[in-house]
Parts: sequence; C-alpha cells; structure tokens
Amino acid sequence: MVTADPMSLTLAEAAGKIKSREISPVELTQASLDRIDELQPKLNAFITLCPDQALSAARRAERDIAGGKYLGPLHGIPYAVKDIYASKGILSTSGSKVFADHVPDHDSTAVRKLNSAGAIMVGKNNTNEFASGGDDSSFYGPVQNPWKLGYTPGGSSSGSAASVAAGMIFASMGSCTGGSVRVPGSNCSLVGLKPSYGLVSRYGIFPLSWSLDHPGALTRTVEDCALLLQTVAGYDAKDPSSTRVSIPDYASALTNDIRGIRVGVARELREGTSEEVDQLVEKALSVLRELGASVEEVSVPITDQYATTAGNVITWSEAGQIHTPYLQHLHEYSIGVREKVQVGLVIPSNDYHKAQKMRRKVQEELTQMLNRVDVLVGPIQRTPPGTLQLSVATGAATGMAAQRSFTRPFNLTGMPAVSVPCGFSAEGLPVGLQIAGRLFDDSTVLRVAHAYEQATPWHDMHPSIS
Amino acid sequence: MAKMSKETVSALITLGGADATPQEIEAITTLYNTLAEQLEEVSSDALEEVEPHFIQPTRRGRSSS
Repeated sequence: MVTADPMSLTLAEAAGKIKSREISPVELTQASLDRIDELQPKLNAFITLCPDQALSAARRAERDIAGGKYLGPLHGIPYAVKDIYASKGILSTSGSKVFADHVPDHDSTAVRKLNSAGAIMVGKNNTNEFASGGDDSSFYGPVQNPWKLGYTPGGSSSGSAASVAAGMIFASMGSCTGGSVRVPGSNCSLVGLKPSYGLVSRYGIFPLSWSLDHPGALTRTVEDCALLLQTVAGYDAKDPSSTRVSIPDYASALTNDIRGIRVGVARELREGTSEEVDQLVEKALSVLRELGASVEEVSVPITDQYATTAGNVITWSEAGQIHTPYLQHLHEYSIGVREKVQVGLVIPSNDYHKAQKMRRKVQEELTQMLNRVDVLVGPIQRTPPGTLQLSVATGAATGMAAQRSFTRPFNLTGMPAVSVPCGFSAEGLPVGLQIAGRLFDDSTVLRVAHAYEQATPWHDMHPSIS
Repeated sequence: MAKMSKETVSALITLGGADATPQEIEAITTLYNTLAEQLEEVSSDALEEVEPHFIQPTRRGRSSS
C-alpha cells in the first residue's frame, strides 16, 4: 500500500491518499521522519524533533480514520512550525540561547488548530534568532538552501522553507514581519503566504513587532497553502489584533480563471532588479496576460519613499519593548539582534509616531491603488539568493537599515501577499513572484497565484540535495 | 528628529535597563542617526493631519485628511 516516495507528493495529494487509505498516517509520518534523518545533517532545518509524539499522534489518526472519523485534508499530514510558535511540552527556543530550555505549558493557537485538525507535528523549525531577518544568524546554526548548499534559504522562516522544499514535511507555519515568509518562499521555490493582518492568530508566537508580525504558511503549492490557511484562519479572542471576518472556502476559489483580473505592476517595487530576475518577472507577466489578466504599470511613490524607514523604526521600537524583560541576557544575543533591540530602547516616541503616520500614508496609497487594480505583482527580491551571511561585527544592523524591500510595504498595510515560484537563475537558484491584494481578499491573491502556478512548471521541480 | 550623540545614546540605553560596550554605543549611535536622517527626509508638514496607524486591525475606507 505504500506509495513510492510519498514525501514527493503535495499535501493535497497525500491527503487524498490518506482519505482513500492508499497510505496511512503512520507510514507517512515515518517517511517524513526518515527523510528528516537523512537531510537534517545537511540542511539544519530543525531545532527540535518529536518523533515519539508524532508517531503516537499518527497512530491515533490512523485509528480515527479507520473508525470513520476523518477530520479533513490535514488529518495525518506531517507538518512543523517555526520555533517561535509555542508548543505544549515541546522545546520552543525562538532560535535563541536565552530560551534554550524553554518548554511552554500551552500551544499557540495555530498549533492547537493544526493538531485539532489531525495534522502531525514532527518538530520545530530552525529560525533566525527571535525571527529577526537581515542575515542568517541562528544560535542553532544557519539553515542551508536545499537548492544549493552554502546559499541562504532566506529568513527568518529559514528552517520552515528548507524543510518543506526538501520534502521533509508537507507544510510549515512561519512568521513575517517584513518578508520572512515570502523571501524564504522565493529562495526555496515555494509558496509563501503572508495572510491579511488579523486573519491568523498571533497568540503563542514570540513577537518581533506586535503591529507588523503575521503568521504565514509555507507549502509546495498554492492549493496546499489554501488548505493550511483554511485551518489556521479565524477569530481568536487571545490575540488582541484578531479580526472577526467571515472565512471563505479558500480552496474553492482556486478556479484557474483569472480572466478580467487587473494586475498592477508598481515600477518602484521593481526598481533595481537584476536583469535575470527582471526577465523572469516579465515572463510571468506574459503568462498572466495569456491567462486573460490585464497588466498595467502603476506608481506608488509614497510607498517607495516611506516604507523602509517606517518599517525599521516601528519594528525596532516595538522589539526594544518586547525584549525589555530579557535585557539581562542581551550579551547572549547575536550582534545583529542585539543592536536592533538596543536601538529600540533609544528611538524617541516622536520618531515612532512619525513612522506610524508614514505607515498610514503607505496604507492609503496602496488601498487607493488596489481600488484601481485587483492585485499588485512584482519580484520578491532584486536578485536570486546569495551565499549565507552571518553578522560577526558591530554595525551589522546599520547596513540592514538602508535595504529597500519589495515585501515590507504589505506588512505595514496588513494586506495579503504571497510568493509563488517564477523560475530559476542561471546558477539554478529559485526566484519568486510577489502577488499582493486587498485587505482580507486573500482568496483573490491565492486565485491569481494558483492560475499562474498551474500554467508554469516550477512547482513540479524538486531540489536534488547532494 | 535631531541626531544623537554617543553620550545621549549611552544614557538612554542605561535608562532602558541595558548595558552596551563602547563599540556597541558607537554602532547604535550610527544606526540611530541613520534612521534619523531617513526620517528627516520626510517633511513633518506633510504628515501634520495624519493619524498614526498603530496596532488595531486596519479600518477600511478611513482617510487621514
């Protein structure tokens, strides 16, 4: 009954085989654990593994399904979460030495929902320390890109992306403050969704910036992403920013029909892109046109001018507050994170409020733009992934302050944005396309991403890890 | 939005409850002053009537002006 190489299936395909009993949750979980055993020494994608709990949960899922209690498409599916998600009874380090022995007595809401849906948590993914992006630093060592060892998988949800891309698990929940789901998605040729702010509960996730953090999903296909979002979305009283909105059927929105969709390409969110990436984006735009979308160039000058500075000031001010209880451990932080926390203690309230005003202007501009077009499309990053970078000297964060990001504006506005694979560089490194949409219109973003994905071959390609 | 001296940065870090080495003070001063320069590029007049965004779920359809 065992399917050959079940870890090469998509989540949706594996779910179909579990439902039809072609494969059992125990077989699938064992296949996941075997793949992790094989590749973890090369990729370092996990901080903690929980094989005993996973197999126990898989046996329970197997009994339930055999007894007619099938819970849905995540039942029996091996998954993981970034190690900033609290998991009851399982080490949750936030990628830091400070929490090296921290075992929570509760689950984050996302973990609770996934476990309740019958998904099987096999471990906790490695992450940049405290989910702080900018380089590849983790107390537990850098994560490797499965497409090319020695290259960055993107951060901060680095282990989440590497483990899904390598076929160790079917899905992982990451988090995104400025691009930490979409950039790893792009670097590892995955779908990386930052849902609308307030759609997925932040409860139990160690924060970097309260107002910019978004839990997000990393999967191999858009359909898998829709299934994961369906499970974790929804109001949660434990998260003060959780929003009461009706939750549509995300998978049913994946119709492959995007005729009449208006695509805007913001010239500022494409500026400075390498020729190689720009050509891949141009080809992607041609595919969207062939699928019946209209494509027009638009301009968002305020976003271009304000988003980077506002994002840095807000993130680091909030991080300074968040880390205040741990300041006695600051010497145990990596240099880059320590500097961000220290500058957060210095930034005057005047600056913070000005940054929040700038954020409002970005929100207004992008809201107006998204009244004119249905989605904004462009590159995730200017270049393909580079080699791993670790900060080892003071001054690390200053270089990060000047880096303009194509992903961060949508953290400032809370609008949904996804990375979908759009090809490979000459060196064989993945490149991602960003599709962003109106607040709480995650369905349209996924619909456009899915139509593009199904018209292109990238989602069928897997890394050969040597 | 004025730039800060190393002494001011050092005092604020201490007030915030943290320690920092002289090298770190130097780096934080440079980092803060980089942010301050970036903020100065945006005219405060252009933001005078704008309500800050803060943390609440985004309110749709609300204009700042």
